[in-house]
Amino acid sequence: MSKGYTAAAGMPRTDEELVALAIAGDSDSFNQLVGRWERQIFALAYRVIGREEDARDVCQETFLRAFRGIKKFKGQSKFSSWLYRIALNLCRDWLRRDRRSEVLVPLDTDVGANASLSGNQPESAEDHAVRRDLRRVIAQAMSTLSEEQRATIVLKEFHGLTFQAIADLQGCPLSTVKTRVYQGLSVLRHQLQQAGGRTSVLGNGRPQTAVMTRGDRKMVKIDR
Amino acid sequence: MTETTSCIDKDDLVAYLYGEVDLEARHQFDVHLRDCPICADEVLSLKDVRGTLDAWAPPDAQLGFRVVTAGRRNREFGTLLKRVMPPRSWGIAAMVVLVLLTAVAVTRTRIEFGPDWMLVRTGWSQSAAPDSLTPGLSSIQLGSESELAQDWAAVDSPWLQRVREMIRESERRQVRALSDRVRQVEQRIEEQRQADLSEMERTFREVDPDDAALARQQLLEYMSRISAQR
Repeated sequence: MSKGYTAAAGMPRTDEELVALAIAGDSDSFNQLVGRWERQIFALAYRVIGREEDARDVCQETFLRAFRGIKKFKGQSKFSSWLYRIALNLCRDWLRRDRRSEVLVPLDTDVGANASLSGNQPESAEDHAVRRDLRRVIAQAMSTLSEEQRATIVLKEFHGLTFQAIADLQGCPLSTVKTRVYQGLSVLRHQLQQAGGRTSVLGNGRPQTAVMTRGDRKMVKIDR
Repeated sequence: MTETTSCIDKDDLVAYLYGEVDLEARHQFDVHLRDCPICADEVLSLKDVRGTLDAWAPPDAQLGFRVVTAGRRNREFGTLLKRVMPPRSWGIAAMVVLVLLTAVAVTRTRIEFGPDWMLVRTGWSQSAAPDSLTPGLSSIQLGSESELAQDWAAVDSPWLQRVREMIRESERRQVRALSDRVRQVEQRIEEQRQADLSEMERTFREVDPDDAALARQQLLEYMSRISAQR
């Protein structure tokens, strides 16, 4: 039986169980945690930093630091929150090093090509181009946010953390987190309006032109 | 149209937007949004922004990070050896041996040891005397060379003595230089050996006691095997 499963009912081990085994010296259990969380940590780093290679480096360094410090992890927070904190600190250092305060927006944002919102349906070339263009617009808009706003939006929007969890992670009051989210979304709204006439995608996976304005109510609603 | 004082606070609006309000507060917000087009418009536009963000997917990067420790019992011995003795030291050792072998091959160096002395001879200083066990044409050739050497020795002139002295001086210089070089190489090998031993000891201290014992045993077996091959 794999070490990633409990002996009782073949259920996957929880993070806490794997952490306990890792603290006891079982590197396989730690690797189970890596496999479970590396995609999330990479996505976080990519959306905060904006470049795949750098995000990969941050992701690797995050798990390396976690492995080195696993014996100091006392379970005072969720393991994932601990990882997020390490990754965010690394992202912050990464952005501030050499004054690289600007988030990089790759010219060819042909990323997430296999991440069709429609699930298993094959994506046509036209849909793919529309989706790529939309991603580039979003990445550009996100790059205009402050470092704190960007990290807060990413944690809230893409990782589903509660406002309180984000406040704990960032070490700031709850109201500050909410303000960052509100201001961040407002800036994004403005930026996306500036990029009006761009294309967006409906919930059924078919691309349609989105009018990024508020007044006429023709903004495309995307099923979540 | 302006925002009224009864409009939703921005923090509460964000909490409502992400569903982090209780049922009673949500009901109050819903009632307010039906009567306040400004707040309704604000909530709708922010929901649309959230929907648009959904399309921002990260790349499908190849990740698969794995932590590999030196304390694994089931790892191959080669992996252990790489950690205990860094590949760089193996490269230096191989290079030193190669240089020594090349030097020996080129100079036909002979090293003789005594109770309290060591003599290094190069090929240039060896006598041309024939090998008594070498039969046939080789004996004849070497014999001829010997005769030439005797003739050469019979010639006694100040100019020739000067040449002989220069040759002997040159040989002495070469022997001294080679001795110095051998001494330096031995010193480097010893230093590297000490450094590797220190590194091995340090590594053994880092790994678990059980693993260290296993590693020591494997290393001992490996050294015994190498010694037996030699």
